[in-house]
Amino acid sequence: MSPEALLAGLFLYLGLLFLLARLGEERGGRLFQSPWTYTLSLGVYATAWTFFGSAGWAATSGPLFLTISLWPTLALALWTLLHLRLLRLARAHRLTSWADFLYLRYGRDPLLGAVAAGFLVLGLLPYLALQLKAIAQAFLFLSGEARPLGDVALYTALLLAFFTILFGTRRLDPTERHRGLVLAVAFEGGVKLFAMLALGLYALLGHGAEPFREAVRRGLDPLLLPPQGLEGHLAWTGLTFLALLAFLFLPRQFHVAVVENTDERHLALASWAFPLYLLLLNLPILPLALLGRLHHPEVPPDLYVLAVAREGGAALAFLAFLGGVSAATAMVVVETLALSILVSHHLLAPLLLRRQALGHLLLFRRGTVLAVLLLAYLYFRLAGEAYALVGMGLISFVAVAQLAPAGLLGLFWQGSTREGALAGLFGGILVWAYTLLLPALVRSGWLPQDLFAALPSFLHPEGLFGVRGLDPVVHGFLASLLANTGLHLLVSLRQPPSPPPSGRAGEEEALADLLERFLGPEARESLKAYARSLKGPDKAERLAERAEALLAGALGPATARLLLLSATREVPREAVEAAARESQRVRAYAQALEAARRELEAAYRRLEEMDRLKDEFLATVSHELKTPLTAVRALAEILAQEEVGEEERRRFTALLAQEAARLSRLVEEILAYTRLEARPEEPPAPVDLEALAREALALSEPLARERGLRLEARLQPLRVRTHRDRALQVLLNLLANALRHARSRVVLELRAEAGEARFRVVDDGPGVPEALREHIFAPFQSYAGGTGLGLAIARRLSEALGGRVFLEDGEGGVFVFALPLEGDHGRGADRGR
Amino acid sequence: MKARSLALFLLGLLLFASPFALFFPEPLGPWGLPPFYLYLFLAWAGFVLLLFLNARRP
Repeated sequence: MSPEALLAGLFLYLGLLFLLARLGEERGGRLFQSPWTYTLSLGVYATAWTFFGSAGWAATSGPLFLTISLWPTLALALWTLLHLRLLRLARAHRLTSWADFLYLRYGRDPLLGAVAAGFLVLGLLPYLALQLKAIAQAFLFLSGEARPLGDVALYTALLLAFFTILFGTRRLDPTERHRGLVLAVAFEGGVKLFAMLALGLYALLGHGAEPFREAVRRGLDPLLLPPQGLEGHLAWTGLTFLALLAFLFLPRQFHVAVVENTDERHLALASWAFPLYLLLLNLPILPLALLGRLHHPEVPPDLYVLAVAREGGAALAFLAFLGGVSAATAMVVVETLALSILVSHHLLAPLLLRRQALGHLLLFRRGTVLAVLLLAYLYFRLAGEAYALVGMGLISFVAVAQLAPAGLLGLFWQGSTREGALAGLFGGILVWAYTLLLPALVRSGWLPQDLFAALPSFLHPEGLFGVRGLDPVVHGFLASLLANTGLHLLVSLRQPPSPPPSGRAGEEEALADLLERFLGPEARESLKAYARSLKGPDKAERLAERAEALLAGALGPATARLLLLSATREVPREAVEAAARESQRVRAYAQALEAARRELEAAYRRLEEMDRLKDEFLATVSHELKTPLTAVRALAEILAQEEVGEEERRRFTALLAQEAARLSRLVEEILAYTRLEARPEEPPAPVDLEALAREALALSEPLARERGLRLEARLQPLRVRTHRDRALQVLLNLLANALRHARSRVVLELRAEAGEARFRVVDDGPGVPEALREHIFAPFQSYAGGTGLGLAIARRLSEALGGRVFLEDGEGGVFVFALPLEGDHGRGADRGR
Repeated sequence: MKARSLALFLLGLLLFASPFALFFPEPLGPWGLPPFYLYLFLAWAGFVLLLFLNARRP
């Protein structure tokens, strides 16, 4: 195939993956929740190692390749036991990796988490490098180009880093779930199975059982036989055990199986469907390996699959290429993501915390992804050429297995201690580096070949204690695991048998502290009481749930989750604070909204009230205008009559002018009032109340005359400081009211009483019935054909003047208008005299 | 559930970690297929079936 076509196809496929991941991010809800997606995403276990490397391994070492897939099957038999426990533990403590578990189990020791994280990165570099190598190798083989392997691998690494950053580190998510990514990985799981089955079908239909017979004819029958002898059996069982541990402890496996698990019921399907997946994936490998070895002896064993596929045409070759690319990319993306989470939890966050730079955690995590992939590339350049795919992968498997003693003993043995775990881990790492990493560097020519020549035979890295004939990987695995477990047990047992810092009790205390800090001592007590009432194995989980619920109620779920995280282990405090700030902003915003709503409501009520007042005011205004107008009209009518005497005419004319002036003053005042209530009104002035009363009487005279009533006055000379026109208006209103009800006469009295100047308007009418006394001052309550505003306005005006209008007991109606003599009014009155 | 899972695991040990060299000395067997691989894949498939039944029963 031409490199251009291959590249175009590759990019098309990667584009499809991007699209799928994007779709999953946005609305992959149902697909993402499916147990089949979960099962297929577990297929991330089968990498380019399985897809390309297994055939190479089978073609050189026979059935050993099966160990890598066989034992995860056995692990799944125990899954319902082990994994459910792990899953629940992870839920309760928000674990995102085994390093998190170690950190939590062994007394929250940051050193342990950091060592585990750092070592996992180092140990997995060969594994990542092998994926890069597989893609680059396959690409160059199919395109027939002779470019250096490294160039293609570099581009591959950069592209995969980009994909991981895009879909794995979009945001800091406390659950560390990535729907789009998982969907893409599951899809890739389907693609590699499909490709492998298609290849198998091609081999079966094209060649049947012929390759087996041919192999025997050519003397390759050891490939078809079980592992021979003690060494063979040890290699078989050692590798199976190694695969079992790797399956449990690989960061990417923990990530897809535990962290990305959305429903523990998915385990039921996965427990049989995933072994079936591995079985189908491994079925075609031996025929392909034999075909490759028989037909293409010139090709490196790792390329047998592709070489055989190319026999079947360009389409099949491309399918095989895609299968391998799927296997490699899925592994790289998830592994890098898991490693970046690991590094950011256990190495970066504590470091950044000390530097007060946690705000950049996400940036650093992206940087980690890129750095890990570039390191993997570097490892590939350093040591990749000398090893087959499988050899590189196995070195990583042994590294990952170093977590097993601390993890499993921590899970199932109360007596294991922090010091034991550390000693075991360090011992295991040292032996691993000595027996596997060092020889790898020697073999690739970076260290002198005769490095080990001077060593006594019992110290030889690939044959400690003079062991011979054992597969180097199995040897390194057994030695490092032995050292690891032995040191762990030895150190743990030598320590006083104090119970290990129980994760549960510590957890409870931490949660209680957290609640007290944020919700007060009552919350602490409530959690403690709840803890006492709890029994059973999921106590910790339920306690955490309760604490989270309590916190979520007060702070929002995201903050609660982060706070919980911060209580259970060393996580980005800054992220916690950022989330807290965020939710604080949201809360502040909500509060502002609520305040604005209340303000709006109050404003609406004020508006409503003002609208009502305006109506009332309009009614008042018309009434106030009507009274002087009536007077003017009456005076004018009187003047129009013939029989009015000259003197009377002059008096009436003067009154008319006076009334007109009052009218215009009133209008002005109203105008002023409407224009702006805020405008300061005229200051009160000393007023001669007796004269005021006479003016009121004179103005009411026409009305009285019209009704045939007598107006009488009994007035004391009094002066108070007040607003003349308003007081006059009150008097006029009261008089008009009295005239309306009187039978024969109305009396206006004025005298000083109880520190007040009191006008008393008395009429000889029927009086006010007891039942109506409460209502007559309300607006529009008319009982004698008036507008019903007169008394209301009188009362309001009097109150505005600092006085009052009230009804007195007595025969007929007795209305009193009282103005205070004390204070300003009183002094004004005194001064006035 | 617990006991069944454990029993399955032990059965798996027996099926997949025996000293096979003692049982399968011939490279070719029925239908021209290697008997060791034939056995492994059949045992594997049977094991998957047992896992399936195990998962189905509560």
